Amino acid sequence: MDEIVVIGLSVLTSVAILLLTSLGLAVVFGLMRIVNMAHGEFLMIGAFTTTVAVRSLELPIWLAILCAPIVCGFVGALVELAFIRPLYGRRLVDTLLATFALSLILYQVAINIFGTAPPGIGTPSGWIEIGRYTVSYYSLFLPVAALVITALLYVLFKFTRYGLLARAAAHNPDMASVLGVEVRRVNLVTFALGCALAGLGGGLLSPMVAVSPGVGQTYIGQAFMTVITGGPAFLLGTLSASVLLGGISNIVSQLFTTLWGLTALLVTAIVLVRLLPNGISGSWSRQL
Amino acid sequence: MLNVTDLFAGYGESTVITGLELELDTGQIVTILGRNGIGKTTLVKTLAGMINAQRGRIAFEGQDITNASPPRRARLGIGYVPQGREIFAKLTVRENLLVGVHARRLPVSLVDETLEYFPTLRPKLKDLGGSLSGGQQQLLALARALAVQPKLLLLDEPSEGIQPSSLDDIYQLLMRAKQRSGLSILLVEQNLDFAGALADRAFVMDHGRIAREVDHTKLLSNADLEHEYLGADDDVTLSDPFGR
Repeated sequence: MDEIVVIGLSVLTSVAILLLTSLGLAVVFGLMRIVNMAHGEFLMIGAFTTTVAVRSLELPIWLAILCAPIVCGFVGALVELAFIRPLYGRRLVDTLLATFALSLILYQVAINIFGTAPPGIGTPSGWIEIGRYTVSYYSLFLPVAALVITALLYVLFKFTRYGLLARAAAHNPDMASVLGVEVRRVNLVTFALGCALAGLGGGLLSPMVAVSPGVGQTYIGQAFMTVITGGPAFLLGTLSASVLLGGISNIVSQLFTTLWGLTALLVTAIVLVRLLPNGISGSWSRQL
Repeated sequence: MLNVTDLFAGYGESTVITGLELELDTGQIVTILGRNGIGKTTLVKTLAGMINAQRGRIAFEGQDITNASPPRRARLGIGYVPQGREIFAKLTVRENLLVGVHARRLPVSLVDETLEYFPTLRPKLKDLGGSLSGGQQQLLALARALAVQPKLLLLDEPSEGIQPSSLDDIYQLLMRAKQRSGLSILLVEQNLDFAGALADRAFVMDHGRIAREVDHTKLLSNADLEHEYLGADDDVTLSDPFGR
């Protein structure tokens, strides 16, 4: 019984990690049709922001985590202005190449600043005992955080002025523009938001993983799979895909090894995209 | 209120509008007739700012807007109902109406005010735009443009693919909007009966410019004119668009 509870909690944590690392990518791809290859590096910047804020600035961990989306949102806005904006209206592959180049640059810059194996920060203490097992509070906190962030995003896109304009601009930029929407400004906010979300994901993961310049690359493959599998409803689709892929990969990991878990994730994603070319939410009428 | 002088516009290297001159006064409904592919849609898109003018000048209420962005033209009071409606299919009817209102930070109450003139849309506010019928989508496109109370409305073939009864609704709506708020309308049409019923002045477009003015009162159910202005085949006769 204890084992089942512990496995269940572990599945929840995996789903949360997948969701936290995918949401930023989902927002940018879902609303702007831009494949942000530098998404992993924004996770990395978020993670480093948190570790630096804790170690050098001696901020409390919660405050340090909140610094991550602010820094990444700001960097994201600069990236949009410098790299993405000139490429609007061009082919998907153009922004893909530009952000891929950016990802290589950011990775190298991080190595120059932090080295390949910089010191990390500890997981916030506290755990609960479940029979013979102990589970850290922090791994229980992650699913709650992921759900709250998804819910807040839903509210943002469904009920706010920016949210409506962003959805209209995603749907038909020309028509939105004729109705008075400053599409460029909306896209700037959307891209910065996507980067901020990646940063927040990185910040939230930083106490649990070894933060290195390559940390983002650990997650980017899975994040892409999740977003593609999720389909056009970029919030609830990504949530569903995270539950499915995160759940399957975690269970297989526990039964066999982590590598098999990752394999199971990729196989599931490939089979799903084969069966549902437009993703889980492909036939849904909803946009979020 | 709208002055177009020596306008050249087109797509990329090609020029579709060649030296067009047009003037439109406040509260006037001007219709532009012409065969398919003659550049009517290009003209409307250039006025809305979706296509850049290659040469010439567009002035709106005395301001030069030749190079103004589409959102700026919208803020100045130019509304646009495109051919094919271009409803936001995955936004609800209410959200469709809110886009322009929010974009310009206008009060949300404008949506309710607009709906008084579109009673058929009211029960469908929570439906997705894409689920509406063609006629309802046309009404929604019109309501979306009128919600922000424009001074000039650019209307690109509102009669296309519309049931006669819906067309009658649209006619009534436009006449009321004109009387109520002094709305000016530039109407591009192929349906001569509809255009003739609405317009104060009618022009025929050919070779990328205004060829001449025609007597708008003579447009109604006139097969000869149809042939002459629209290049319609002789055996094609348009039925009464209002179904009366």
